[in-house]
Amino acid sequence: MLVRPSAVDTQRAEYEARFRRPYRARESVDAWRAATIAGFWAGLSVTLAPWWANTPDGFLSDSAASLTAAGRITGLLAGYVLLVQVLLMSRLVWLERWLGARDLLHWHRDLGVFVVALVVAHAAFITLGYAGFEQVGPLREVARLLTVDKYEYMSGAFIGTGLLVALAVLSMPRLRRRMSYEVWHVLHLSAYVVLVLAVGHQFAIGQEMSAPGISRYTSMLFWCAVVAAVLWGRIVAPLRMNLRHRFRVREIVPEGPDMISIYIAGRRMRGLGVRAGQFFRWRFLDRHNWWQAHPFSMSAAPNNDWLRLTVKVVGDHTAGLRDLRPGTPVFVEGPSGDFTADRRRQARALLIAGGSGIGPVRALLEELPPRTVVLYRARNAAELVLRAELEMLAQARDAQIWYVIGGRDEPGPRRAFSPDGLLELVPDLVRRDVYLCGSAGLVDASVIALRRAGVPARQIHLDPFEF
Amino acid sequence: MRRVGWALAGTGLVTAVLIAVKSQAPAPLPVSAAVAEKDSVTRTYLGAVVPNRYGPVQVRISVRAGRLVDVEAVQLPTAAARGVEIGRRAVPMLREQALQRQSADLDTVSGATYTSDGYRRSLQSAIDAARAA
Repeated sequence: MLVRPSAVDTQRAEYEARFRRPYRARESVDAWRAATIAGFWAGLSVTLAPWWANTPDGFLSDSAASLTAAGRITGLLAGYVLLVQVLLMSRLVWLERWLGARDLLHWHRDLGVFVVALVVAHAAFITLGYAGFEQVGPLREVARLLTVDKYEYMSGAFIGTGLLVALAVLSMPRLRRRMSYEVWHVLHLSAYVVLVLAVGHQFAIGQEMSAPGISRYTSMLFWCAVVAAVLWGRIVAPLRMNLRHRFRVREIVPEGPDMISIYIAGRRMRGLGVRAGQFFRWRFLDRHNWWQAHPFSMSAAPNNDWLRLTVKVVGDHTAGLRDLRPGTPVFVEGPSGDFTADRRRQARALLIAGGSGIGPVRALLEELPPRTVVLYRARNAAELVLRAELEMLAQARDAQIWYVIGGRDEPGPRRAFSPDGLLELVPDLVRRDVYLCGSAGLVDASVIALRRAGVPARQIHLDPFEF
Repeated sequence: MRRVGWALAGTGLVTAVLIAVKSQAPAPLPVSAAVAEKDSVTRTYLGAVVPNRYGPVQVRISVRAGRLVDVEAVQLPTAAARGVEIGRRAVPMLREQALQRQSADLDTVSGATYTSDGYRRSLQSAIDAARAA
């Protein structure tokens, strides 16, 4: 049956029993993480092996040959990194577990810039090198590549390069902020087109890949593996999960000014492998909301009956959720994220939440060991949501809650989020894991203060979203 | 963003080093049977590596008693399945011409301009080496 926070008083005993469950054990993925990163670099160097083997000593004696060689090297690297880029975003669960959800995003962003530079360098070097062999100007050579030589798939490669550069420009923060997430996302999906346009010329005329041999077959194998990963992670796995669980909105509960909790139920909830602190991408299938997927963390640890998310319904992004009706089907993708209790490195933890960041923090509290400290910041007392629930949870799990009320620049919060203030509130701070969730301003300021207070970076856990 | 800068700088450096290594002249290959100065001994000479856009061309010649007795293609372009095919087709024709004419003055095999040209130049350098020896 559904337990509503507004009805907690009458169900105190039941609640306490549920809140007193064992905490989640620690689990280190450091070895996996190191192996994943080492695998990436190993793959990058192996990519160059065929070039090395096929290029005889003393071959690159003139500038045209050297330029062409630079073009081949950058081309091989670009082909590899492009596939890695797609793999990183394939939503494969293992990859996220090993690398971390936040790092996955950062790798994707950085490698994105890297791959665009490689592709542009590849095109430039090859053109200059060939122009050197022909003894014509670079522009003439471009025309030759497309008309005289008529290399197979060469026009596709040119279009792909153009698209890739356009995508990189659109992904620059200044431009991206002007677009809605959905528009940007659809544009970004055209990266798959780039992949398809690029692959043709690699296998048809690529120096190391067109001739039958181990490098050709290895590349094809990697290609197929990446395509399979994308199909699995983006299509098959989500479909399978939704067919199995058939999620529906069960109830909408107001929590405070502009805050609502959405309870979602489904079939066979017991078998849903999910940890507190993770998030799903929720797509509410009604007339107003079907077209967008909202990434939201759960605001309660998963149980056998329902999932819950607590959201602020302001701005056009989430306003449509206010009018959700119970019974609306929900298409759910996930769970994702490693903002979870099993990632802690110390015996105790400190949770810092700002505004609606309380959701995942509240969920995490249920899976962390006793004597956890929660710092919850809000502009005013009315904006503190889930308060009754938090306090009951704190009591049941021997945790301590500090409310920090006030604007960012008021003396109270400023003091609380300074290195000294944090040490005052939590004297054993440096021997705790710190989980942070809130606005970028709060998170950035807190991370700086925590580092100054001496908390090692590996003990600081950030929630995977970047709004 | 700083990581990207490092990665790009590293890639540029590695590429430059790789190219520098590959542009070093090769270690001299042991020339077989170079001991006896008899006319009946076959001696081999390696021609220069001639690059073109499809890859390198290099030949090795065998000389006996002042005559060119064999031309062997050591390196042929590996690029583009099409290029390999052209090379395979052209090489026997080029070898035939070379043995007949006893020189590097060969006709271009149609459709295999790059391979013919590289073959000619590598052959010429091998013949020069044989004359100098």
